Amino acid sequence: MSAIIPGLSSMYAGNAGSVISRGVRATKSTNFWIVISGFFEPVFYLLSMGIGLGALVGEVESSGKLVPYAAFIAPALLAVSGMNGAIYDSTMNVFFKLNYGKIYQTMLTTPLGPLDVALGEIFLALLRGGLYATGFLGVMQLFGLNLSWTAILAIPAVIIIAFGFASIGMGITSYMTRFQQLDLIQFFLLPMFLFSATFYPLSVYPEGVQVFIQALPLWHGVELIRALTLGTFSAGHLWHLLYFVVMIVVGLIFTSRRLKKLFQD
Amino acid sequence: MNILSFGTRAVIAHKLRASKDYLGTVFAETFLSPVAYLFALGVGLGSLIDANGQTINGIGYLQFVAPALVCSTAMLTVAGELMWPILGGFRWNKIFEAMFATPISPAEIVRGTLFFASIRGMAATVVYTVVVWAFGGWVSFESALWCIFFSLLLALSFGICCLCLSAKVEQDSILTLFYRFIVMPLFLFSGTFFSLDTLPIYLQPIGWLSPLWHATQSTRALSYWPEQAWLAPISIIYLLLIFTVFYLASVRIFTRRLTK
Amino acid sequence: MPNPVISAKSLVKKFKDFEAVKGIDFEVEPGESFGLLGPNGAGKSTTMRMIGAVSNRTSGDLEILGMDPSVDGPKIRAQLGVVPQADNLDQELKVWENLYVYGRYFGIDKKIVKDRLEGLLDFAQLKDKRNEKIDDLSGGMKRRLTIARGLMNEPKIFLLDEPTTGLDPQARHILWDRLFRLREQGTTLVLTTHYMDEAEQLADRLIVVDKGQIMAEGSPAALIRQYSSREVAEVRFGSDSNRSAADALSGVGDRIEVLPDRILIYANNGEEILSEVHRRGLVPITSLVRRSSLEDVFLKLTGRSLID
Ligand SMILES: Nc1ncnc2c1ncn2[C@@H]1O[C@H](COP(=O)(O)OP(=O)(O)OP(=O)(O)O)[C@@H](O)[C@H]1O
Ligand SMILES: [Mg+2]
Repeated sequence: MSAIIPGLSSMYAGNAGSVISRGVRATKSTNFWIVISGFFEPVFYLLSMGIGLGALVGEVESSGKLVPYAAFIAPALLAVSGMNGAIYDSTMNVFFKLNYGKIYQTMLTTPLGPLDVALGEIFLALLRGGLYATGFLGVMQLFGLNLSWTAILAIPAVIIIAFGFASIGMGITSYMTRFQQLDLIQFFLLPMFLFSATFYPLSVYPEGVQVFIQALPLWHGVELIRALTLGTFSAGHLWHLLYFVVMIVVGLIFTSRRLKKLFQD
Repeated sequence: MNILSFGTRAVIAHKLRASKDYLGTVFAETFLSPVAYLFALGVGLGSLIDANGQTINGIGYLQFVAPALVCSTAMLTVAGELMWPILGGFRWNKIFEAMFATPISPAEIVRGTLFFASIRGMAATVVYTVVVWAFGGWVSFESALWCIFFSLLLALSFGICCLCLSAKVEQDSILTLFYRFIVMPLFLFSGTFFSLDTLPIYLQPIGWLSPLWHATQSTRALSYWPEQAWLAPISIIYLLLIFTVFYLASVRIFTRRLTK
Repeated sequence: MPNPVISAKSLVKKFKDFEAVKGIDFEVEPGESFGLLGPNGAGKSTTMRMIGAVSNRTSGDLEILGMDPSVDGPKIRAQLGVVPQADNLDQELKVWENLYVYGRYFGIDKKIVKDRLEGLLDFAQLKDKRNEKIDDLSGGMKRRLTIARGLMNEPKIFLLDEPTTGLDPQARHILWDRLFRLREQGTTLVLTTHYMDEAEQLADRLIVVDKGQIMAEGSPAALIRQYSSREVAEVRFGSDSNRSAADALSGVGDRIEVLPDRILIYANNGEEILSEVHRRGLVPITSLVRRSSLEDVFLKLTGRSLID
């Protein structure tokens, strides 16, 4: 393997599993309720926006289909929760471990390499994201917001979305040295959250703005999941998937390089 | 009692100095987040609602949502400033211990931190108010002033609740739970994005208890719906009552924890 | 002669423009106990981290167990036990979990980890604290746990950066005892310390480092022989008058070292020196004669007292 990717042997011991089991153990003993509570955030949003605002907005058109407002925003909130979960795990959490907990420093005095650490942490983020997605999809089902059987595919889709965000997020976090800098991340996420066709179709924007938003990852996530839960999925939606595959690969390379530099310099 | 005594001012000065480093981020956040929200909700969502031929009690969506956005900013800003930093002040950086070792009294620490948070909250509020104005969200100048006034009451009363709780707890996970199960639902269900009567009747009491609803709804009543203006004095009394009760409780908790 | 387990040649470490380690050479033989001494900021920890294959060298050669740490980091670290200068225990895990999870990082089988863990808890005297959180341990207990954790993988080389700082005398002796036994079993030890008695006890061979360079190398006894006289007379005149007393004493003994609180006079025979002091009409507040120690070597080589 190291023949294919030079330097791999110094970065990877093939034991990301131990990083994962450490994460599960730490969650069990300290943040169990926090993790559980994270599930409710998108549900509250769905209740507030979907039901409260739904009465004002009425029906919305998506991919040529008229759907109730709640059914329109639910998949968007699902995509957002995938993004937020991944970002939380790969920024706040990673930042703390990096700067205060010294947990990575400890890991790296053992045979574990930066890539083990990155893969392990990202897997944990995805595990959590996957659990939230499943729960939220259940709530959607309860409210009758899944309009097609393809909705079940939203779970793996959310995981892929989360993977994309987590792999980049971790690398970005490694540049941060103070807590306040983390606010910068929120600062990019907020507009993305608000503008990526989450609460209303992209068509309310002028052409130029539309193109800009289509370049952002969340929009691709929202479109992908929306097509799955509304049952409007077609081959044309595959390029959203491709977007995330590229994001994942680039993110992983970027992050493990950063970690190596950070810890071994 | 001198509410702006030397000790109180010293605490405020300390907090200001400590936050100088990240002033840039704070400022950008204070400015960008209202622009984003107003654009998304007022303009984007508003266009859908208007196209659907809907108004709220005769008011366009942008005008309806603007006071709520301003007030909730005041609320969320003080919450952020008076939850983790308070717990941290006791547990992590022990800043309160250090302050208490000087002639500063617990009551002065409480007031100093609360006022500092309120100053931040009000800075955000004023910036927000100006941005709303640029979007055409105020029907009159008084309406903007009412909104700032109620935001201040809200910042003080809700801020002291957060401070009180955070001074009491030992673990930051409690704060996260408080944020997710109290603060967020308050933000989402206090007649912020839609009128409270859209909710099922059994959920509406959440709104009546909510300081955010009182601040928002009173601003709206005074600005748009004179027939509901009776709500305003009730809200003012309610908010002041919360403030007094939790202020007294906070001073007691601080004193007890610092002299433990 | 067996191959050295650690061999450094012109080893350099730079942080941006600052050269923390300025081209040092040393070798450590298998089973040897090797010490690094030096004042604060000398570059000891930096060197230890390079040996630990967690910090890349800027230039020079470094071989650990015949491998290059910048290529085979994971393979090298698998054979090392590390006790860093600052405890880095996992705050989110309990005491026993810290050991367990650490063992799993090495890919050691669960059952074996659980077995070893009991022995290590015993060694760290933390059996009754096994379910406590790290936050609730005292400073010395944390240190003991960090040390025990470093033995989890039964290392070939054990790196200890100021292991006994913060330990009470009893815990210190338990650790020394353990280190003696490890050495008997053939484990190589590399340690830094600011306690000269510890260095004399534990190290077969030492290097004294200052400002990133090696000032001297040898066994404790050889270093004392080479850099100090047989005995030392310590005299105190009170902080204000030490300086002037030192002037009056010039020429006495082989060498005089003036410290803020006392004057050290090096000579073959300390009692003779004390008589000479009195003969010159000086009356110290206190005085004593002792044998030279590593501390004196340290002072001579680095020109300042141990703990700045
Ligand atoms: N990550 C770093 N970045 C920049 N400079 C560093 C870094 N680590 C160490 N240094 C500098 O390198 C020098 C050597 O530090 P080192 O920690 O190796 O000293 P030491 O000999 O272990 O000292 P002590 O006895 O205090 O532990 C110091 O001047 C220190 O400031
Ligand atoms: Mg050191």
